[in-house]
Order: sequence, then C-alpha cells, then structure tokens
Amino acid sequence: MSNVCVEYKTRKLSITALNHVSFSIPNSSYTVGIVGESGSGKTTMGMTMMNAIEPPGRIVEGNVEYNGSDILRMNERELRKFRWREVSMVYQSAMNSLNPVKKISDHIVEVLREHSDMSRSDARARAIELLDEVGIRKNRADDYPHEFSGGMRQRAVIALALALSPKIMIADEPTSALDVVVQKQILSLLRNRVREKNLSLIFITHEISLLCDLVENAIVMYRGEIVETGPIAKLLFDPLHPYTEMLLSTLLTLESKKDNMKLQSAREHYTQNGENYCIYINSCKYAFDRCRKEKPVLREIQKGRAASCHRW
Amino acid sequence: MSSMVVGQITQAGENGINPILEVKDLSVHFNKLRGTLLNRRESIVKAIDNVSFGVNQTESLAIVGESGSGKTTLARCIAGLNLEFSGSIKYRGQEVRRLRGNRLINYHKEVQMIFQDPFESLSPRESVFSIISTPLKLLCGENDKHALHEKVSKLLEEVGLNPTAVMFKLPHELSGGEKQRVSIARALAPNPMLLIADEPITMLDSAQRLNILLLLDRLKAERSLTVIIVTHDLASAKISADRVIIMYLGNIVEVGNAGVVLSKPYHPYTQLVLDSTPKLHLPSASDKVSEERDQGVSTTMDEKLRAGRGCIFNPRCKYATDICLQVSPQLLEQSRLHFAACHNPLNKDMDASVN
Repeated sequence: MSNVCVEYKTRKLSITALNHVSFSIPNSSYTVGIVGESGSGKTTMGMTMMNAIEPPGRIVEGNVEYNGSDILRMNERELRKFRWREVSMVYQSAMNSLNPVKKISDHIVEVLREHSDMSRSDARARAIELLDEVGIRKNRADDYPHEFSGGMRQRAVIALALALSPKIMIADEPTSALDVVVQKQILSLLRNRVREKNLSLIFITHEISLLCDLVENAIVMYRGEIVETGPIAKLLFDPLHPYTEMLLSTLLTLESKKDNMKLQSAREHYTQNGENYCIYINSCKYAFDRCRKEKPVLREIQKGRAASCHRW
Repeated sequence: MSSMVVGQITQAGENGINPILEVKDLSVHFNKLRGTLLNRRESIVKAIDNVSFGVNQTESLAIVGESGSGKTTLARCIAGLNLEFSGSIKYRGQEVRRLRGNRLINYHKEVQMIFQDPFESLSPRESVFSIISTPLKLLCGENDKHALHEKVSKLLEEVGLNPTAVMFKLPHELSGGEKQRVSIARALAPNPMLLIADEPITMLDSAQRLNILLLLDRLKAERSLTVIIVTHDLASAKISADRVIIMYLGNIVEVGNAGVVLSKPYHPYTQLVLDSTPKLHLPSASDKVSEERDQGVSTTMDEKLRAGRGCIFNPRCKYATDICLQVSPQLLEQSRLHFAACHNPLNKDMDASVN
C-alpha cells in the first residue's frame, strides 16, 4: 500500500481521512497493530486494504497492491474472490454484524458455498469444525446470534473470518465492546489462531496496551497520517514521536498513580492539516521553530523504526 | 477476626461520617417469558440479588463488574429511575420509594446521573443550551432567560468548555469528549449532592478518558460531591475511587478500600478480572503461567452458569471446594473494612504471616 489518500466529501467540506499513507506487510505471519484516537483514520486504513471505501469516501491517490496485483483496479468479481479468501476482516461491531434471523452455522455455510463448490453437508461439517476451533461447541452451532453472549458472537465472527483460510486478517477493534475477561480470551484466541495458521494480522485499536502481547510491530496514526512505526517493544518504552508519548502517558493501567496524571490538551475539533507545518504542533511540548515552518516526513530514525518528527 | 455482615457496613465506616445513601437487601428481578405461545414459561433473571451497602458523604465509590452483573440496574435504582425493586434505598434516612411531591423533586435535584453513552443520551434535536437549561427550569424553577443563559455558561465553563463556542450547537457537532462534558454539565445543573456516573469513560479515547476522570475528580473536590462511578475498568476505578464494590451476577462479592482490593483481592473473581486487565508490558514467562491458569476457568457469561446452589461463582472458580458447591458464602469482614464473600479467600495466608 503506497502513498494513499482517502477523502470524505460532503457538500460543505471534504475531509482527508488518509494523507499520503504508505505501509507494507513484508512477509506472511507478520503482525502489526494500528493505534490512534478516533478519527485518526485507522478504520479507513483497514477498509482501504480491502478496497471497501464507499461514497462519500473516495480513494483519491495511491495504489494498494497485493502480491503484485492492484486491488484498486479489480472489478467486482475479482474483488469478491480477493476478499475473504486472501484478506478477511473482523469488524468493529461484530456484535451487530451477524444477521439476526440466521443461525450461526449458516453464516459460515453461506460464505463457504459462495466461495467454493462445497456441498451443503460438507460446508456444514466444516462450519462446525471452524466453530469448534474458536471454542463454540457443536450444540450451540445452530443457535441464533441473539442467543449468544457478546464474546461468543465475537468468536463466531472470528471463525467466519477464518473460514476460507485467508493470508491476512484485519481485526478492527474486535474487543472494544467486551468486558476485560472476555477481551483477554478473544485476544489469546486471536494470538493462537495467528500463530497456528501463519496468518498476518492487522489489529486496529485505540488501546495501545492491547498490543503488548499480540503483535510484534506497531503503527501510530494521528489525523490520517502515520507518525511512528516500529517494533512494539521499542515503541512502548522509548517512543520517538511526542504523540506516541502522549498516548502512553494517558494510559490508565493498574500501576498508574493519580498524582502523575496530567490534563492532556487533546484535539477536540477537526481542522484541516496544513501543508507546511507539523500536524501535531498545537499539542506538542517539544515544538520549536522548524516545526512551524516545515512539515516533517516519516523517515527512519533508528534501525527498523521511523517517525515523523524534527527532533531526531 | 470479626465477622460482620455487610448490612452493618455503613456503621463500620469511619466514625463520625454519615452515610448519605443506604441500600439494604435490594433485589431486582426481571421476569422473562420463554417457550412457545402455548407453552409459555416464566423465568426470573435476578439482576440484583440481596445487595446491601452504604455510601458515605463525600466519598467516591466505584461499582465494578462485567456486563450483566447488575451494576447499571443498581445505579438506575439509586437514581430513582427504576422503582421495581424489593428492599430499601434510603437517602439521608428517607425511603426513596416513598418520596412524593416536592420531596421527590428535591431528591432528583440532589441525586443526578451521568449516562454511559453520550452519543445516545443527548437528544439530537436539542441545543446544548436547551439540554442544560431543562433541568434548571424543571427542577429549580428558573425561568428567566438571562439568568438561565448565565447559569448555563457558568456550568459549561466549569466542565472546561467554551460557552460561546458550544452553547447553541447540536450534539452531533461535538466530539465524544465534549458530549460527555455536556452531559456532566447537565447533571451538575441542579446542584446535586450525589452524582452517579454510569461508565462515563467507556465510549471515549484514552486521552479523553483521563481528562473526564480528572474533571470528575476536580468537580468532586470543588463541590464536595459524593460520587458513585459504575465501571468495568479496574484501572480507572483504582485511580478515581476511595472504595470499590465488586459485583458478580447481581451479588456483591467484595467490598473495600480501592487500593487494597485491587492489589490484594480476597475473591477469586476480583483476581480473575485483575489478571485480565491489559497491562503495559511485554510477554514474559509469568504470562504463560497465568494463561495456563486461565484454561480451567470458563469465562463465558451465561445465565446457565449461575449455580443452582452454593457460591454463585463456583462454576467458574478454580479454587472451588466441596463447601462452595453446598453453601453460599456470606459477605464477611475478612480484614478491617475489607469484605469478601468467599469460603477460601485468596491472599489470606499472606495476612497471617504479616500478623
């Protein structure tokens, strides 16, 4: 994926959701987390990778390639093949992305039959197998979504995403509506699936703490731009970009002390990004002259780590 | 070790501090119809089952539990929004359910609630001014336009918003954090004594979360409010509360000082939630151990998991012994002001060796 711009256009204004974003998955079983506040373009990024941006959104610039073929130029039929089989997505509100009048097993049967010439009974057997892998027992497979708890629905959606053994799985905030205990289960389920199947995982979240033991690499996004990338172990303990630093300092963990907490001046309103100054300038505590005159670009600062900041 | 039931918890509070609110034997049961049209059975969901606790003046109390544990129902009962309960809720010694007329209006003035989802709790067709001035008109009888305007802008300033910028905006024009600030301003409008915040930060980004928590903290100090925070996030409970109540399937399983409960819990459920809370560290050997430990614990929330008899947590508890399957444990004071409902409390041996 290189140099992608996506904008959302309404009658009054157009909003650049992604601003010249480049990013790649070098090999299979590569795991990366995308972190950022709401409105930073993380979900748009996931949607772009599936070429699933719908009006009023539009991919203005750039291209997205998968194994050498341009996804953005694919027609509807090629896309149907590509989605699910190569790249699948677990949506944010998986609780609501299941059809309420369909049995859980039928969701998977439908996907399997749509994408292969499996017989109904074979597909059903496979569906039950898949559900079993995510810890849903056979006797629950024919229940309807409303009979499942939130965590179970989320597992079902993960089973669905894995149905055609894709190479890449995009998980968009799969746990944000769940309790911590269930969240931990879903994360360890994802982790095991990814390890066993040599999947590449793109995990989108606004809680940086979830990434710690799930992925190896992280991308931090701010206002539609990537501000920092690097291995998670380095990024967490020695952030390069002041925005990453801010994200980490506002994190509430059991170890946090009230006294160390400072009020953060977070951006409250959308403003257009400027061309000739740093996008983080208004909230940055390190800002100096150059930050006001020149927009920093994302460049390698240490081996394997990049950030867009003039401080380095 | 004194064994004191939790009904006496309020007396057990620091001497000289009066409970502002007393909840005693509160139960809320919802009837659920199941089965076909002709073969209809009624099943009862016990959202809250015999819960007793007290809230001291100017303390901040966190009620923690997973979804389905009854924490929101409890908050709604206290706010007077759900009157279908048995047991008693007393506010300053008066039975809330019996309040009528001016006394009821006064109760609503003094006890205000902030709702979970600012995206849904604000009417999309009302301006910020109209949202905040409604309680002023209805509860405080303020009808003068200028006075209203002045009060609303003062409230907006207090919650950290710029009055001229947001006063006549509609909720969809505000960000999540701003919306939550508006709902806090609305709750503060009638000058309450007790503020109930139902998951005030769940829907927000991490930076916004911290800001809202700090705002609540500041308001609590400035207005000497009593705050009840309902949450499922232990980290925020630890930061913002003096005391926590841990709820599980409609029952209180542990009560005590926030710092103590969340670092050295007695109840296995509290330990389970603590272990599951995301931490900022890299995978290490100890994780593998805790993962293995988790394997035995089923974590699916299911009404079927409610044990027929004995301790309600026994189907998920890895420490369950025979007595847990037979006898339901009482909420007992295990150490000073730290109550837990468990036959085999954790971390107890440590206490003994210290003593």
